[in-house]
Amino acid sequence: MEEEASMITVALPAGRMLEEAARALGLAGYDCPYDKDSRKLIFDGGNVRYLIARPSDVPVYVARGAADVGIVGKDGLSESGEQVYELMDLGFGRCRFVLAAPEDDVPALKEVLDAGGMLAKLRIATKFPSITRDYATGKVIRPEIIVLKGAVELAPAIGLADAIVDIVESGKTLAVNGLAIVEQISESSARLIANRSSYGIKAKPIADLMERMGASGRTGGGIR
Amino acid sequence: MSEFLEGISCLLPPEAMLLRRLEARLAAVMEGLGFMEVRLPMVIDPAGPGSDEGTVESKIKFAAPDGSIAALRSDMTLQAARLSVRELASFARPLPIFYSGEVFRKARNKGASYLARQDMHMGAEVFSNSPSESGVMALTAAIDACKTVKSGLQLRIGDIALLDGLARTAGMDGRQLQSFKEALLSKDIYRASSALRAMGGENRAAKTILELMPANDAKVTTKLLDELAKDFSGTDLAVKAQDASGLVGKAIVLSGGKFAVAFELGLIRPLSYYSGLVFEAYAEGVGVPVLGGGQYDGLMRAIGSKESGSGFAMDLGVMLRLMEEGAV
Repeated sequence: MEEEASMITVALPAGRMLEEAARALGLAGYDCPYDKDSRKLIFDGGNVRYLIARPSDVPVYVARGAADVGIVGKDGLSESGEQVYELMDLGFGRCRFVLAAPEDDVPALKEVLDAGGMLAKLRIATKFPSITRDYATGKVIRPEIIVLKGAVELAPAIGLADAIVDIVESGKTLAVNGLAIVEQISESSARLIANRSSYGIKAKPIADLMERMGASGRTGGGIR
Repeated sequence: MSEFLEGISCLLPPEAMLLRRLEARLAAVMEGLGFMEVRLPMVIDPAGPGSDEGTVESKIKFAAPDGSIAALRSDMTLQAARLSVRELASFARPLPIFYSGEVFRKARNKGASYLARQDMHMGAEVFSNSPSESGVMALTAAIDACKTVKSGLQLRIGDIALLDGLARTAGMDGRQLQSFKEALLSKDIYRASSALRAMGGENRAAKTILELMPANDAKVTTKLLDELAKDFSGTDLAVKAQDASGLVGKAIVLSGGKFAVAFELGLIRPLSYYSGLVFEAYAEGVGVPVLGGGQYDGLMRAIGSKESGSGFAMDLGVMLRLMEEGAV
């Protein structure tokens, strides 16, 4: 029973953040035997079991109890709408959410938004409908949100959308496609999240994980 | 039915049979404690007294035949509270009642649309002239209901009044307190902790919230609450800390060692009408509470009552899953 309570399952995000997450766990003293050449999606390291999941699925795995904790970008967490504890900003995987539009249209859009006004109508292409809807409320009177699975930068160029909401790291992809930032919506970075049940029932290993992963530990996991 | 509103479904024979057994078992627990059963209507008036409290945005509304707007109940506490001040006004106090049935809420889908959500609840409420009496009776009933789960359960107790008092003492104004509680409600411990740290390491009240905010076990809680009572001796905060400590101790005794009891000052319930004691119970690996409730004197004032009201709702959908796994 005691042993069960000290075992935790951690969901890691596949893709660009996986190596950074594995490195952060290693630096915190956890055995995270992640092998980038392996296709294994489940592996063990001491008292920790790791799952590798698509980033947008990490909050789902954690919320539904398949994992006790997870590492996911704030963007994916906000988009998921899942009810989980958000414990720490892990500092890596930084990027920005922006509203971007064709360069020629940016001054007119900025003028309205900077003056605190509302845009009458805007067709926005995005992979993040929830974040876009929240942003558009109060900014656009009649927003039309076009949900795409990828390459949203293409949408304004072919007349499918007037603007896009997307993640930007350097802004180079936007520039190459003739787009520029209208305004920043929010910033994102990797977050440590916990299942609502595990947050209390497995408080000790979660508090240990937080303490070891950052100076801001001991604030969310509890003391047993 | 499910084609009309996605999210609404029927219960098929095996599940319906389990539900009947579960309701009978929980009804026996409630009746053993002196609670009386009531049956509440599925349709409510969304504009009556107290309707601004709680799940306003999530109500599924429709036009009634006379042109007025009606709604499916999204929560049964308001119905029970209204019943207590009208039809049950002449009944002796404390008045303990229980009920079961479906509630219906709008749930946001990942896309632009809204789904309907159908939950099965068993709820209990206590109406009393004494706030501590209503709170303790509701908590006692919740603890006995928790005992129907065999293992791996944790009951977490919080106190909204203590949290508010500490936050005000720490120096939060109304707007900051609202933002802080919104962070806690959305389980954003990172944002809530950052707000407290920004108040400075010397801020005793902010430091106390940071320590009491997680789901700490009872031993740690008792020590922290006793220190708080000592540090703020002679104030209302000290009294609230002692009351909370006493309640945690009582919960441990009542649990009889059948499940763990923790104190989580950061516990905020999704319904805005809770004003004092709050509690939730979690089963291992299940991301939603098995049971949740607390004291809602603010709601009672909103419906024109001077009484104290406390209660809880148990999620029978979660309980059915636990039954299927052999945990109930």
